[in-house]
Amino acid sequence: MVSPIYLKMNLASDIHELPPILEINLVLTIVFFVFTLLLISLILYLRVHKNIANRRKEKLDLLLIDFINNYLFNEEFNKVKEMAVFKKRQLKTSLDKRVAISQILVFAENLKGESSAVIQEIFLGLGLYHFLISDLKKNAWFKKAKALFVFYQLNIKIPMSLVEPSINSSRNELRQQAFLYLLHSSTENPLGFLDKINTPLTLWEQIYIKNALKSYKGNTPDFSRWIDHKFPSVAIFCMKMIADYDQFEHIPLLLKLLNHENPEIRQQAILSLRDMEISETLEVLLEVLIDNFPNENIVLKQEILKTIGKIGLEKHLQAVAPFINKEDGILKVELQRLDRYFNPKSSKIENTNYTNNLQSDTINMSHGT
Amino acid sequence: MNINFFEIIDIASLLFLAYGLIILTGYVFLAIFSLFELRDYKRKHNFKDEVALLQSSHLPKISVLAPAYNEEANVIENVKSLLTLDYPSFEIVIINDGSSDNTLRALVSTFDLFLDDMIYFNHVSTQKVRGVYSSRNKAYKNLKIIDKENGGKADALNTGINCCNHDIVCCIDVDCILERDALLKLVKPFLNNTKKVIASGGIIRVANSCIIEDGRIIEVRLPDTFIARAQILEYFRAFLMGRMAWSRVDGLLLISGAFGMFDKKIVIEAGGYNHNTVGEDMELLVRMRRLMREQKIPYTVSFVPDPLCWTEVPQSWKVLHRQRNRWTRGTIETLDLHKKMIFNPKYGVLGLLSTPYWMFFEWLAPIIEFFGILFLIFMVIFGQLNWYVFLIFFGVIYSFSILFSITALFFEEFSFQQYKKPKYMIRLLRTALLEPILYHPFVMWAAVKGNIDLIRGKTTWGKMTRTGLSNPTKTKP
Repeated sequence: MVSPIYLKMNLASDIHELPPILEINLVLTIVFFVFTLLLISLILYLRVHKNIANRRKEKLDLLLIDFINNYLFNEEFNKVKEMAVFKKRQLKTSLDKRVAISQILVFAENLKGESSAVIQEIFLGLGLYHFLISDLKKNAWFKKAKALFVFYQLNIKIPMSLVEPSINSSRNELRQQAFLYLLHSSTENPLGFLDKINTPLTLWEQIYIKNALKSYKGNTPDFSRWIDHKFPSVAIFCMKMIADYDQFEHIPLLLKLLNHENPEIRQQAILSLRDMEISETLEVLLEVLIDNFPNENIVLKQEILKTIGKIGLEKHLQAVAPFINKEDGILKVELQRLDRYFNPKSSKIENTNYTNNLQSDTINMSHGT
Repeated sequence: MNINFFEIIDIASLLFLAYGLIILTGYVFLAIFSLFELRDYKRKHNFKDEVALLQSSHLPKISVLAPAYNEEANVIENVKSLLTLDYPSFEIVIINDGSSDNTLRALVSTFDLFLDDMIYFNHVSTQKVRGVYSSRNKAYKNLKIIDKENGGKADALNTGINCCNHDIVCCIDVDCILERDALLKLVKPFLNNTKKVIASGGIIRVANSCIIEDGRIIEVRLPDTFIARAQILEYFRAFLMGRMAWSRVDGLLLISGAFGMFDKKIVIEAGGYNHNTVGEDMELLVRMRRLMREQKIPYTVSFVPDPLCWTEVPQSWKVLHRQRNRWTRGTIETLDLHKKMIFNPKYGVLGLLSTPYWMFFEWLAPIIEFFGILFLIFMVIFGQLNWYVFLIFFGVIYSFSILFSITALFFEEFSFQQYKKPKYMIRLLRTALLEPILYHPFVMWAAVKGNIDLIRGKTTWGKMTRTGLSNPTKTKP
């Protein structure tokens, strides 16, 4: 019988002759404890560092508010001299510069007109332009994205060569900031970047672009220009914008898209036309939709039914009802809802006998769809 | 072949050691991946310009589904809090799952509800719906209450899915406290992704002892009880390390039932929540992922680490035992239902990494640990234990447990730093030292008991009593 060595050994005396397995364990224990201590030190360091940074930020914020207010409103303030002094004494580190940028953004958000030009002047005077340009030249995508964000927030022009490579960045956030910079800095063609993109627009990007267009001061772009874009997401975005900006002249184009080969584009065409509610085209729209109904997928059939509910009449519902199969439960429910909407008291559509399993309450019963 | 007693001990020791090393390596990788993921997340969300988006009409509409069972005491406060979420278009659907108390009556009278004979389609079969209620008060126009016969949480959520109006559903526990921007943050992955996102989950934070006013956390405090503090560390490890890491490799198998957002169409296609498991949240996500994989549709599942959802964790050992027992049974049931995926390369990361991880580290770990302890007792009884050797082995496990918890604490400090007072950090460090000895063995036993109960055929949830969060004075130390 072989007795394992570890049954016999005495740690105190055999410490230098441990079996390898125990030696490894002992070393690992020490390593783990050392790492634990290191991490605790790191936690302490982070805590102290964050506290120091926060204190510095609070102090610098107050100094900046004071400086910017003086620069804006105090006529006796020696701008050139004070600017140089502030820059030299207060903006020594990268953190200082980033705090200054954040504070300037707060002022820029709250000031308009001439004051915003002065804010730009302060930004440039404090050397923050070059600081951010150097960020833009770095490889770090998050620094580039933040720099672009600041430049368009402050309406500061930068060389296009620093922006354009970011249009097709693999990082969503950088791409988005590049779009927004280009949109804000453009005088004539805010959506020109759509011609250069080689990735689809995400819904998030679409929402941001739409939001940015609200504050765009130039002419509203003609959204129909990108309706045949290679990415359906761009076409869909433009169709949404056509409806949002009431570009009624493009209704014929939207009607044509009701027969587009891509179902998502067909769906958006229905949504945009439904939202625009132009009485002259309603009949044409409903006619096309009813014609298309039998061959559409279930999502589009639902949209068509909703459209009938919103802008159609009972006769339109009667026209599509025969094309709803028994097994299309969702469509049957939609049909029943509309039937009840058009005929609150009794069903007129065949085979749509409305029942559900709710207990009726004569006092509280409601008949809304 | 002659194998003697000592050789058996040798082999068993080596097996336990090998298993320990595999776990250790797995945890190290989790830590590395989650560090990168957290760093990226912080960098991505450095603009603070999302508030403007709350005005956008292009954001998708969301249905928030919250099952309620015997929640009479807090349901009104909770619903009021949900109604004040910041999001342009959402509906709140409360599913009264056959409560035996006055939950429904309280809701009807407070929110001036009437029985609404709406028509809906039963995508998923459920227990009978007794009534759907809407409010006469326009201030509550986005509130809907469904009263149904009791069928459990999965059944209640399925009913909500049948009756809700919107294509994205956010499933929550009704007593959870959500941050105002929780919906916007959780919906973002659905919108900002070139791949189809089928679900996104959020981190769950511990609300015990926090100061709450009007259904919002106004001050984060560290719980007074050791058991709650230990769960804070556990949640840090599970969310800030585990799920962040799995999110980075797109291998998430679980989105907490307390706070998750789903693409309704895919949920319905997958068949809704499974009534026959107590781990319905994990099972649904696994089934959804499996469906997408089998249909060869590119997709992803996202995870948002912002502290968006706060919940009360068990304060008593008894309730904790029930909870962990149930979690274990849910895990086993899910793994059993989807055993086809384990080690199956057809399912990519899920088949080769996620499901094996869950099998070996989540299901089997407590069992192996339990047998390890039995083995140790056996060695003590038969005089085969060298205490020096034991101390070396114990030292390595203990030091690693602490290191793992401290790493999670570091991630918290690096990312969101919710526990701002220095004394909180000291107490958490102290908890990390005690947790492997005082807390972990209990949780391990609860998991082992979960295995035993499953074999015995136990299928119930077990009663979850809560001490309540709504009264701030109650929670002040």
